[in-house]
Amino acid sequence: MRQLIARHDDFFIVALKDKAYLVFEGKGKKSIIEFLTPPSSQEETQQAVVIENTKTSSSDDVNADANAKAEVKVKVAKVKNPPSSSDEELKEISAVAIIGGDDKNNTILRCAVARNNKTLSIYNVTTEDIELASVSTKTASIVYRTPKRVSCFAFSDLPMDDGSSSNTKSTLLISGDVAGDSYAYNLLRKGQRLLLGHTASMLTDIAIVDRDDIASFSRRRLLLTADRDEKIRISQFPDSYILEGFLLGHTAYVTAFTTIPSSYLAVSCGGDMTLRLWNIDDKSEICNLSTCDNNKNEIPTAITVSGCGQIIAVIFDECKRLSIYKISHKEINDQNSNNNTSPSLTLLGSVDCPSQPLSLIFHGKEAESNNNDNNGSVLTVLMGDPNYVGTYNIQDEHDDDNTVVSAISESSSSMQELLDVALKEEISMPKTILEKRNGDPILHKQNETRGPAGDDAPWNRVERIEIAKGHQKRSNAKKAEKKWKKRRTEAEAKVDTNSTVIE
Amino acid sequence: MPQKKFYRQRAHCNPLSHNDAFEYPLRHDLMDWTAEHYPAWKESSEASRPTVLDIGCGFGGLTVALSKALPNETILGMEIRAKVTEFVRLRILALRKDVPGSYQNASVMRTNSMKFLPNYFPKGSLEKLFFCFPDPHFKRKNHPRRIVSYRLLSEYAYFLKPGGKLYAITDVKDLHEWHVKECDSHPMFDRITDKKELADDPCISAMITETEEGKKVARNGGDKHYAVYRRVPTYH
Repeated sequence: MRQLIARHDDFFIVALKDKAYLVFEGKGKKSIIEFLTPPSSQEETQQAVVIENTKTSSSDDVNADANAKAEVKVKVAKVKNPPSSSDEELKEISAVAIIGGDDKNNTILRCAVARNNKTLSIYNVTTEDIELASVSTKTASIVYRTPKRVSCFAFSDLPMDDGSSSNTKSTLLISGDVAGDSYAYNLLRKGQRLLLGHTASMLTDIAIVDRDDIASFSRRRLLLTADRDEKIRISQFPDSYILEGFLLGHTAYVTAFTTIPSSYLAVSCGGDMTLRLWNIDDKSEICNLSTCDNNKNEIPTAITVSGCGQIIAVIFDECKRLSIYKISHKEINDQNSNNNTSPSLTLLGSVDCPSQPLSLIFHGKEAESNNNDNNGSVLTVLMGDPNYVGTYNIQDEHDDDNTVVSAISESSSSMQELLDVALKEEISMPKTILEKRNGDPILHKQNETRGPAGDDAPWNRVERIEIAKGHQKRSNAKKAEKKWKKRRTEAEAKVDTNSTVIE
Repeated sequence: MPQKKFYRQRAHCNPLSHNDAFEYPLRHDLMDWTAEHYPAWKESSEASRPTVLDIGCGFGGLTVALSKALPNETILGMEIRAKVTEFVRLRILALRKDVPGSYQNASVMRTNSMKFLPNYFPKGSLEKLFFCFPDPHFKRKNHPRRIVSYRLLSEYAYFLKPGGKLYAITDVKDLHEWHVKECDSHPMFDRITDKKELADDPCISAMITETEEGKKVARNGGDKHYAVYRRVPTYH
């Protein structure tokens, strides 16, 4: 849910409230590129109005056009979009993603940023951008309008079959949105397609995984989508109308999940405050572990897995805790031919972050650290202000529990540049990843008074049926009486006429 | 036999709401069909699992008719409105008592089939799916609430056996055209146009004449449009 930091090799894309930055170490010195927000139509009108006021006699053709457009647009804006929430909130970033590009046009990275105002911007980063010094900015190459707000992303390659050489691939961006739909967006030219939809159930996380199909000796690509109705759906990709199965087991909304690279495992966390380990091939739950610590019950909001596939880091909502879990494979000693290892989850340790953690990602295996005896993984956590970012070293083997998670000082990491920019601009980070209403996450399902059709359901209560029967009896009796009276009067009338005739 | 007039409920319901407290099992293998639904039908819960679904069964006309027409299949009606579900439940109980040995293969459940089908059924377990006179949701913004849509057809294809059939009937021509458009554009469904096959199928005549809504349409002299689709087998 709302991944605000992502990584490809040594490049990080980080979202600070409504600004996105690409952070990397280039040529020995740290560098940072800001991804500019695409101008929204409202902004254009406001800017255009300002231009109109200051330059009353504009001889510039472009400005004249802009002013003419602005007049029309201002009227439209006034009627259609009264800004109810602030512009800041609308531009807040809801998800980011990054992937290595192909070498066409020297594109080495493709980045995607989705915002609350339903825009999705794609940035193509080339080698020239990287070689420019220090802080610079970049504008989006394509901006999409998404039908609903995007909540999660995944990138995937798709081999192009348009007659060109078989090795060309087109990269697609797969998004999951708050209406439960998943769309695939083309990165080279504008085009999008609906892949699948979970009806009326917000998608909270999405992933693409390759699995080998032993029966048919083929590699299959699967699309996994997790939603608010406790389901993780597995579909084929790109033929996402073919469902493979469901991972069912969570008892509350799924907040995040991740697949373990090169294995059949996936790990998910949810509003039921558990971590669950799944077998994607069997579509079964292997084990689960409650994330509750003593009597603190916070909802896990994000998971990330290390490059080695064994360490999992989890952060929580409204809690500064960062917990580290390990997937351990225990050998089962039985006489079966296939030696099964039964994976299980164990808690390695926890540490409190200095500010509220919002999103996290592990560095790659080849990340260096200044520590001498380092055989652990490096984790970067995006947090709220005033710390913004924290880096930790996670040790796998530990002598005593305290050394599992140790903080690394900022100055050695490439995040220092980001920290400087954040402090300079005084960005105020969101307090939480989960949207809340009245203190409860909106993902939480309320139970209204309409319960299952039980004995004490109002329509089933015997008294009501008896009362209705009583009403019915009375109205029947009234009708019968009316009919009887009518017949009597008719009969009397007939007798009278008869009597007159006789007389 | 229950009386309909005590169980009237508003016809339109929002199926996308999150705030109806539905009870549903965690997984399909944890559901015991013999406990509440089919106590005297088959031995095990797995054998009692429904194979024919009447989605939006209303007051149960088609469900009980199919129970007679398909005596070897297990029929389940699904309805989202609580009062109406209660009516159908009492109706089936009354029928089971009146005609001993019959109607043991029919039952009804209050659930939202747009969301909770995966909790009840495994892959490829259904023979037939019926959508009789569903809510047309005329306004464009309510089209996502329609029960037959491209997104949901992928799920229905997952639950249907290859070769399983999907039946849709409605009296609203617009909605019928929508059904045909959505199913035709979905790669997992092929329309059955063979007249002989359609004539031989007893479910079609049941679908046309036996539902309460169908009888009302006939009384008012309306037209009924239906379409039958077959679920295409998947080749990897």
